[in-house]
Amino acid sequence: MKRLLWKEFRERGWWALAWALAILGISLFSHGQSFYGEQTMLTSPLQALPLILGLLAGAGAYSSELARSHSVFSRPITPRTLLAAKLLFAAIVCLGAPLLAAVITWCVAPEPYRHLATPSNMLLGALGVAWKYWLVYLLGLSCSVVVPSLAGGILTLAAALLPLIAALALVDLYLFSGYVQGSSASVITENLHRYAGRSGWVFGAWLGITIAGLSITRFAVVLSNDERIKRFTIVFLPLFLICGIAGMLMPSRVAARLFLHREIGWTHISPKGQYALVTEFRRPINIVLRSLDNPGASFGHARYLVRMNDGMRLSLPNIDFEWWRWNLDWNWITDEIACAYVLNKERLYLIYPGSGESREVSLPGKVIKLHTVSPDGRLLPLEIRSERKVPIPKTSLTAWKPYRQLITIDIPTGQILDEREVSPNLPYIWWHDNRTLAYRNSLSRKSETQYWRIRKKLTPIPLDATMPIQ
Amino acid sequence: MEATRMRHPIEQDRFPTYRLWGRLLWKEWREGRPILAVGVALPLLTLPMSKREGMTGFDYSVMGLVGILLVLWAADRARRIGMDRGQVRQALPIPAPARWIFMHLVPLLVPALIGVAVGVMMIAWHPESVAFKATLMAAIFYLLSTFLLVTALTPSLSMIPAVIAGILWLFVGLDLVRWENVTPQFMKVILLSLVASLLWEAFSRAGWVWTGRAVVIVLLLTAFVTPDAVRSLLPHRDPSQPPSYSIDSISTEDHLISVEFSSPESLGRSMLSYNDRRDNFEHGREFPYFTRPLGFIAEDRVLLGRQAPDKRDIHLSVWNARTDEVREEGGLMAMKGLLAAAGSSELSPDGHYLLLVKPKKELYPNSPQFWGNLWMADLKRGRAVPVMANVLLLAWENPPAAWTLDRLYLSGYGIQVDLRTMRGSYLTPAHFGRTP
Repeated sequence: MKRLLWKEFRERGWWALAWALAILGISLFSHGQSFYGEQTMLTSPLQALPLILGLLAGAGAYSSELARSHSVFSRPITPRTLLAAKLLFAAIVCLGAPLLAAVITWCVAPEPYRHLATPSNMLLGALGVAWKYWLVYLLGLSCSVVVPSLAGGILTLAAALLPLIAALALVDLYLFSGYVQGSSASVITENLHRYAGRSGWVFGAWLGITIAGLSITRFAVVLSNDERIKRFTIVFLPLFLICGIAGMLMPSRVAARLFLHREIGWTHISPKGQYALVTEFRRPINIVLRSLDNPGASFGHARYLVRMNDGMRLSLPNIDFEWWRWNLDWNWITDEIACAYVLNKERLYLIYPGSGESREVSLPGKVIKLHTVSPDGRLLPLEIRSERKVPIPKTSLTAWKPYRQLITIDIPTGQILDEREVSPNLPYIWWHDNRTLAYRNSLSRKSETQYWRIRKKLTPIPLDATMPIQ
Repeated sequence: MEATRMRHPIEQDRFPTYRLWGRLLWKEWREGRPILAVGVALPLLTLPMSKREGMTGFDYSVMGLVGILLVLWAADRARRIGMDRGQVRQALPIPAPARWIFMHLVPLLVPALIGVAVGVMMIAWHPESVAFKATLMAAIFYLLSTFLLVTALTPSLSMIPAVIAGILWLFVGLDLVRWENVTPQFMKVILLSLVASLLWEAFSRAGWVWTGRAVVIVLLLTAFVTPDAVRSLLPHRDPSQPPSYSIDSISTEDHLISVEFSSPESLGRSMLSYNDRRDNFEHGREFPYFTRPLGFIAEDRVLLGRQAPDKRDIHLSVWNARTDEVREEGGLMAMKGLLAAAGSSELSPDGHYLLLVKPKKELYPNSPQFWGNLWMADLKRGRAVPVMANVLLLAWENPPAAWTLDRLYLSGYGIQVDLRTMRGSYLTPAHFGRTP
């Protein structure tokens, strides 16, 4: 085995060097954080360089054996040992380079960061880098046993990918234009079916190439080119078709379990960290890299309220709310009360996570901005935009003119206490006392502070009472 | 042996040039057609998928695959021709000019036609963002330059370095080909490759192999090593200026009170101005250089930090802007340059902990998102440690923080920091798995 490994390094040394340098570079500059136990998001197109060099290193793996088969026949080497040596050679390169990168990262990291780079984090990070490059090498190696030379290996790969791309094109063009799912199928289900179909064909191509290639490594050097191509095709095509068709016919429930995973999208955490509104996405599993442009929304999402100290899920209030909307604005007023609204809608909800209840407040306009709640936590000022009809001078026509209002809501009752038209330049609002708002025009530094007393009488609430729900 | 060898018809002047050229054309057609077929079919087969969502990068993957096929083909044919000339007598003795033309120019039809298919694919995949003619030309010249670069390098440097250089160029070009007006850059590589190839022919005939190799390498490097490229590699930030991410102002959540630099810090002093917009109170004071505002302990008291660039320790002080008193509050040990590089800070309500965000790099140029490291300072114990690395944050906002007794949650980002162990982690669905 040692001599076979030496032979590999002598024959494939330049490729191994280029491949190892590419892995080292990517590991240092893109995967570096994985050695600290953190997630890595690869966004540079250079991330594909070690994949391609690995593919090329693999695609020429059997070129010397196929060209000089007598060198294999003249020694007591089994095909299995030969294959094991090639796979071990790739494993050494794949794992050695990121391990070296881990050590370099540790050495050059500023001292305070070193406690994050524990041996287990570094090893796991290196394994996380190595395995995908090794699988790509395996794919190339499987192609290298069919047609001699490096170019032959790549041609075999390209030839095997032709039916894959054709299948993907046909699947998208014909099968998902209404024939299989029908126009009534939901967008998420259709996307899931399409994803499962594509994944089935892609996985089928990878599995077909790998199994077909590995199955003929045993006889590679004694078979003619035609015989190798024939055997490769006989194994590749059925596996490819079975996986592709299985992906196409996979039920949505199975596809969701196989291909999607849950991932936290957003968390709106209350000011003192007691509760959170969590938005969870269903995202497709991406085994090669974690990309930023992974479309999570097309595979559905869910929102729920949780109690942070024990992770218990609480029921969301049963309200007529467009929970799927992206422009949902959720604000925690206190730890016990949240306020939610959809932009450009004339209503707002006060939500009490502890009791799971809510109150709808109809507004005279569309919500623009929420301000700080009063010091006693009773009143909530918010800015809204309304429109009114105004006559157009010197004509008999009227037009809708927008204007801005500042209204104050009594939180326990949901009642609008007062409303007042204000200037559009009004960012500076604060509470002078529990019932008096102060505000200043932001454009002029010398503008006078004005006060607005809420005169309407509030419904008394007993001190020990919880917030009443109507 | 040589004397008794039968002379080839061409050497006997009985083999007309048009027949030679015809045979060479036939040879090129036989050798090039599988590459042409695969190279044109792959991009065209993707056209039905071009309108589908969730296929990001698929077109570039196909373009890359076609490019690799072309690189290998170019290297393989250049290697065979080179080997034939040196080691094996050719069946058909070809004059040098004809060989050069059939090695470099005639097969250009293959990459050109594949380039048309790739250009059509790019236009179909990105109809909104690209100009038709410019894209088509860029795709054609991109593949022509790739082919010629590898063909020029293989005879001089051998196949493997040529393939590696070709693949590197594929990556560089893949980024370029998306932009308009890139044809001149591809043309430069094409012309330099042709010149390098001619020079190599001359040098190798004269027996100056190493000189020829050096000339080819230097000539082709001039295509990539431009003054702009060198300048982009050098650090271009003026060291006298504070980093662009550095904390230059802090404000309360309602933006009513703020503290900011009232004059540029590069003047060698830190002039801070406190502004309370409720009563128009404004007061400025000069502090030692490298002082940064970190957070509000109370409405009128500001926590300040000062760290010299070559020191690890940060000196803390509290400035009461109303009475204009400054009180030293001790210090904390951190990393050199942490305060100068920190982009934002968040003080816990009890004044015990301070979160510092240290930006590293933008997600992409001019992006509002950036990668950053999170540092947590325990002000009572006087030390600051990194709690999380490689966090994607938004440039225009402080991380919205929710502090509990033993934890910090960064709302929106789904991050929690355990204040006892000083370790940060992402919240996962497993944290919220329990149902009542």
